[in-house]
Amino acid sequence: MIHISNLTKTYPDGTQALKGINLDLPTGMVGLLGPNGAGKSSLMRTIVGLQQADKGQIRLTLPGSNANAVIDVLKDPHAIRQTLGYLPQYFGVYPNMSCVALLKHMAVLKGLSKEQQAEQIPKLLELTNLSAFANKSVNRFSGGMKQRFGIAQALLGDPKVVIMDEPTAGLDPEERERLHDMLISISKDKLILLSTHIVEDVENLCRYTALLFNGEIKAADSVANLVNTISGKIWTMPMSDIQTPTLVNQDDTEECQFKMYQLNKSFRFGEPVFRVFADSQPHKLAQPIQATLQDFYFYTRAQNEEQARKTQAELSKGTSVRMNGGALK
Amino acid sequence: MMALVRNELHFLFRQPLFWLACILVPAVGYLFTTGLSADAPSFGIQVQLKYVALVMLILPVYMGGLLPAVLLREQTSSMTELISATPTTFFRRELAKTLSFVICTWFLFALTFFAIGLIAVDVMASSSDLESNVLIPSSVNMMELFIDWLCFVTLILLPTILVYAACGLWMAKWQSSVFSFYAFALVVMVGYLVLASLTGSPILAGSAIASDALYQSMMWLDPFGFTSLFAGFTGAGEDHQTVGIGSDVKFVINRFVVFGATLAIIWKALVWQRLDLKVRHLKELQTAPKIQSQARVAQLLNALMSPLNRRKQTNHINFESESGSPLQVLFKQIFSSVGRHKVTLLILLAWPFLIFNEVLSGLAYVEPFSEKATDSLDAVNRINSDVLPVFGSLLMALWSWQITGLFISHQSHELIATTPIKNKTLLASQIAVIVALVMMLSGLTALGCLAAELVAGSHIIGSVYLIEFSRVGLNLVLLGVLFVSLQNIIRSRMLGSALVVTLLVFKFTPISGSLGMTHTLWNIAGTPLQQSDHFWGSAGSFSVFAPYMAVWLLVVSFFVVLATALSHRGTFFGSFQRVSLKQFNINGLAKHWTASLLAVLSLLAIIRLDQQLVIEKPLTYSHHREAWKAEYEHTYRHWLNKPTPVVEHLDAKIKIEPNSGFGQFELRYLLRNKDQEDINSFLVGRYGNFEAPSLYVEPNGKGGGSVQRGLAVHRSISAVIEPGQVSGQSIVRLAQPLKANQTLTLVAKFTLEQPKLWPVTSQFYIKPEMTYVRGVPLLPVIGFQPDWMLRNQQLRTQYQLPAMANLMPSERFSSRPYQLEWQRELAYEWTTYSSQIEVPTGYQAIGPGKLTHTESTGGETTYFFDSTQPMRQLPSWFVVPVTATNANQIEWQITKQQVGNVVTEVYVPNTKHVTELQQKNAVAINQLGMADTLKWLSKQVKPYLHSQLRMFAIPNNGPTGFAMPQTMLIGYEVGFMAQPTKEAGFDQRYRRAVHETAHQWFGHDIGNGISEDGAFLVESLAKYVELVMIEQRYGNEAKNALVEYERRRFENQQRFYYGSARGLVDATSPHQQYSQATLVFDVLRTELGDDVIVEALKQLWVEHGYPNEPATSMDFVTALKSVAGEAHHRVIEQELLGAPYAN
Repeated sequence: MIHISNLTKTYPDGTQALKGINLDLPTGMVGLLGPNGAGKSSLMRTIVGLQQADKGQIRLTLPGSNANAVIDVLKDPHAIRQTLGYLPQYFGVYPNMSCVALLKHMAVLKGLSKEQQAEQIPKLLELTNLSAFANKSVNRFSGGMKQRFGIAQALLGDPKVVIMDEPTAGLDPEERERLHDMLISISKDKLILLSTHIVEDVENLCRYTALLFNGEIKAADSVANLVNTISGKIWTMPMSDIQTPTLVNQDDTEECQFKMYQLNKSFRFGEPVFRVFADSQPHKLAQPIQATLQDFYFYTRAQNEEQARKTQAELSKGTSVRMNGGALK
Repeated sequence: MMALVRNELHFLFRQPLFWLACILVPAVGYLFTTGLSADAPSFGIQVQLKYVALVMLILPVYMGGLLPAVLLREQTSSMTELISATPTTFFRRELAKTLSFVICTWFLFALTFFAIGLIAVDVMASSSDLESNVLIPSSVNMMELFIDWLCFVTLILLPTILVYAACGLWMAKWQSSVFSFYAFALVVMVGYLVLASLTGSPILAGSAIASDALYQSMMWLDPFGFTSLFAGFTGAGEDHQTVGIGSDVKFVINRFVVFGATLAIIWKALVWQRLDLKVRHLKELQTAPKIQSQARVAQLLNALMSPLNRRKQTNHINFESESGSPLQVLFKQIFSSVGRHKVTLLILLAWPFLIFNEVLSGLAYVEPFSEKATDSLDAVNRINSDVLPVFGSLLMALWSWQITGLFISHQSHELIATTPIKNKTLLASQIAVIVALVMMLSGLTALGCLAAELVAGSHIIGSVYLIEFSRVGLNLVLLGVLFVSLQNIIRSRMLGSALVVTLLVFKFTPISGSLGMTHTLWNIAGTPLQQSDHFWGSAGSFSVFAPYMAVWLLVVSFFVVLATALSHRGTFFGSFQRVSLKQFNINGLAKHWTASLLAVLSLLAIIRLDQQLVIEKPLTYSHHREAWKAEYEHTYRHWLNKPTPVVEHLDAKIKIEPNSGFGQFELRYLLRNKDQEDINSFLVGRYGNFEAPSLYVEPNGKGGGSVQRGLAVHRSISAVIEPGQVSGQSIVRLAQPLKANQTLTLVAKFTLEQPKLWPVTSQFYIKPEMTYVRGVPLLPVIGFQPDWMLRNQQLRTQYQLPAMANLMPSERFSSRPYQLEWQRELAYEWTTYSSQIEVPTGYQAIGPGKLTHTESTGGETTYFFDSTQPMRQLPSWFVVPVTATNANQIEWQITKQQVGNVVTEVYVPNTKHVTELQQKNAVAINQLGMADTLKWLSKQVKPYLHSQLRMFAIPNNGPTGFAMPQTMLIGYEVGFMAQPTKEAGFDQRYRRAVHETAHQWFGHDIGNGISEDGAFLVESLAKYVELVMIEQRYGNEAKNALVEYERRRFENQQRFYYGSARGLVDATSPHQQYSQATLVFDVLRTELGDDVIVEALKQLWVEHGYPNEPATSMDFVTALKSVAGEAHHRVIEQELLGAPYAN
């Protein structure tokens, strides 16, 4: 539905937010994963036309439309907004506006007729569990309620492209579940791009996901395919029984003849437990477990960090040689 | 598009700020309608001026408040991304915003103006019942008023709103700070007010055209069109109810150009969306500053937590960069943040240059063609009574807003508020920052001043800087601390800021006065201190400083303690319930008692000060004076036509103690009945600001019984003194009627004390440096005083007084009100004087008449004066130091010169601000002016009545020249420090001396019998003498220079004179009475010659000199026509009765 090619964005302060992004976002729920500062929000803002890219292309093909009716988002950012629902990570609300008044205000800006407003707004209030607060001022809402308002306004006008940055932030488990139900139910004929830190949400909701690190797409595929790539290689082992707790990147040691990454540390019954990636059993106490998207995320992150370290080391080496060279002269 | 506009209107109607404006704008409009009155001849122009005042003063405030709420709402509410992601384009969104805002604003103000017009018509109609001379709008001209309203709201209001909208749209592209809009509105308002005052706006008191080029430019380029609008008013008379907006070509062109340009600017602003900038800004907002801010907050928090951590002996991360006590850390943080703010930096960087320009531009200027050698006092005086206090106070408002809201802008307010830092530490740091910023401002002001002084070669005196800037600095600090305290107490930034703005409005604008709140304490954290001058430094008002400062210190201390107890700690939480007092470390009991104590002390101090003010000056404020005058007239008006004895001689026994500011007076009035009827009682009174004197009657010379004034009626041998119902008044009821030509002696005793809480006035002062006591209004007077009647028709209506006939001098031609001798005597009020003035040895006293002898006893010297010739009852007594004492270091120089039979005396202090030679020259030129005028008028018109003519130098607290019988006062600066500029065609010192000397004939000989008809005979004829004397002394070229100077003055003032075109004899405006008189007499001299004019004056004296029937202006016209012959009647009528210079 959205095809992104070679998308690059550098801010005036030199921050390279997007480095040649190539990505295909199909219809349905799509997850966008990445640590803070990876470029997720930059990518989203560029897609919705809030900022211009330095180079690259974003093309939108709406489902059911003529294949020739492709929208060049960067050239005509207004076109995507005709069918866009957007929930930014941070947003505020106008003061002294009730929930329904502000929704009406947004509906007018989205070009909805009075009839459409009358039809959609009550439904969305119901959907976001805000009917009881329709006439309350939104700037007095709690964080979760405000987030629900944000979701409601994003869904106004039945958009074909919904982009949500951390939509579940501030929601209690019940609301989160309700949102998940809603997103699944509406995602059949539209693209819902979901940026979140909660990998579990992406794994549960999204058919397709992309992992973004340092402005680059490190992986993008269906969730199942990504998880399959590490299937059978995820191990868990209790930390207290291990002589050397630092098992990270033991590929450099003589004892370890295979690639191994510590993915994360968790606790079970108060005892620390490691999840590691290894081609074969890394320790006698290690037990194989089922791989998850979160394991893949940590695995990708570890790979990314390792690559960064290597690059740094090579750079340092090069600098050292150059310095020595300079000294010989 | 209509849906978008409706959507915007729905938004606007949901904003409380808009509804607040909907209440306030009409409310202020109503105040303007009923409170402010501009000098305008017609009802239509008066209403238009009210509209203009509202657009000039209220529209900027409205725009400053609402423009950011409309144009910056996405940014301030963090909705930029949400809104930008909608399919409605930027152009359509902003166009809808602009349209809806402009429509709403236009409707609000247009309806307010409509209401103002209706109220004004109603007020006019209600007041017209009692006033025959007021024009009542008829149904016909109601339509004209409606057309004027329509034209104003279309041609002035709408383009003005569009100008603001255009500026707002462009600002919204570059600025995301609401403050920028506030600053913009403030700058526009103040900037335009300055421009308006430089181009002679009629709604700004004292404004005049400073530069013709500027005025002409503004005629075309004024963005609001007021300059050309005012120009269109000129020449409109009372007969025209309608203004006729749009009849002036420049105005129409200006409006079309502004309208077109504004629409183009708005269009450009709408089509140019700076997307990248917005995103960059967004990016910066969300990353770099946040990170920096977070780092700073982390460091600050660490420092603020440190006391707690030290107590708990726990370890935490230590930031080396933040060290010192919490107070120091907070001070550094707040000071650096506020000091590095772009606006503050801009102001502080520009400030010395502004000061430099302001000081240098007029440093040596005294008046046109006159300059002086300058020192630091001149430099500091250029800015320390207006520029520094006004802009300093605005900066206090800005900085207190920034200081108290600093952590909100960092979004760290809740973090800071929950640290264990005490309220008093938080407040102390904020106060310390205000103090530091005031010191910085004062330092930069001094820098600008010093630079200007160096460039101008002025004499630099360090102590002047220290004293003067400390005084202003203290005022600013108190104001700043008050603002900071209020911002800490009030839990709404908007309300807190509104209160601060309100206080500033009350402090600096006439709105408080128009609301009847004229108490000196409305000058918040200020004092009624006068500017220091070279005559006596700050002696004129220094005594007021400490009492006022003590009150303000107490008040501000109270608010500081209150703020420490109730501070929201920078959170601005909406209610007390949301702030846990315990959590915020409030130690209630001690603060409660301290605050209570300070509140009581402040209240007592205010009450005490108010009582003292009223004691020193009972008619403290205008409404007091008006009420007193109304009561006086209501009670005693029937005395107006009763026979009253006239004062034949006044014997004054006076003791003056200059060092303690005290004077004792015992006055003996020799009263004679000059009427044929017996006089059984008469009225004796003093002006309401002074206590009634102790009175008694000596029936046969001395030895009469003393009667003290009191509640009961006391009897003397020959009279009953009945206390009057009105303060200061008494009725003397004689036991035996005073028959025709009989006399009696009335004795009046009273004391006079120099007020400590009021600056000296031009009426009297008893100071070690100089004592000046003027008979009017200090002395008791006999009979009903028409001068104490209210003149303003509106006030007369308000106090239910009958309408006062307002006859012009030319209309009084057939009226001869003073047929009877006693009526003439009462009208003239001439008498002879003898004075006995006791002063400490080392001082010299001067009184009316000739010094006959002196007596010295035990450190006191008594001076005896006697006048054989009667003179107007406008006596004056002076005491000047001739030997330096501890209380006064300055001795006076007395220079005498014999001019025929007259001795001219010049009294001037040796202030050391001018060299001995300069002072000698100044005295000589003043003596020359006096001598030339004395000789010429004595020879040509009538000999001078007295044998002495005295000139005294006076401080700069009143008019620069003032004449009394035998005596004239000349401002020290204009008369003795100033020197003519290189290009001066004549010497202003000489001109002023001539003018004041001429008043001995014109004003104190002829022209004082009819108070309603004196301006022409007094001022205009004195201007004639100026022409003659300058021509005789300096030649024709100098005379032409004077005519040119007056022509320019006249033209500048005439541009904004909206009164009817009247002849010189009926002139009511000073620019006509003075400048037009010069032009008229220049023509008459050319056409008729001095001989004819002098002959007419001689004839006037023969027929109307004292004690004949008092002269009127028309008597002079008649005499002139009679002498000049019929051939010249036309030119005389044209110049004196016509209005040849009206256009």
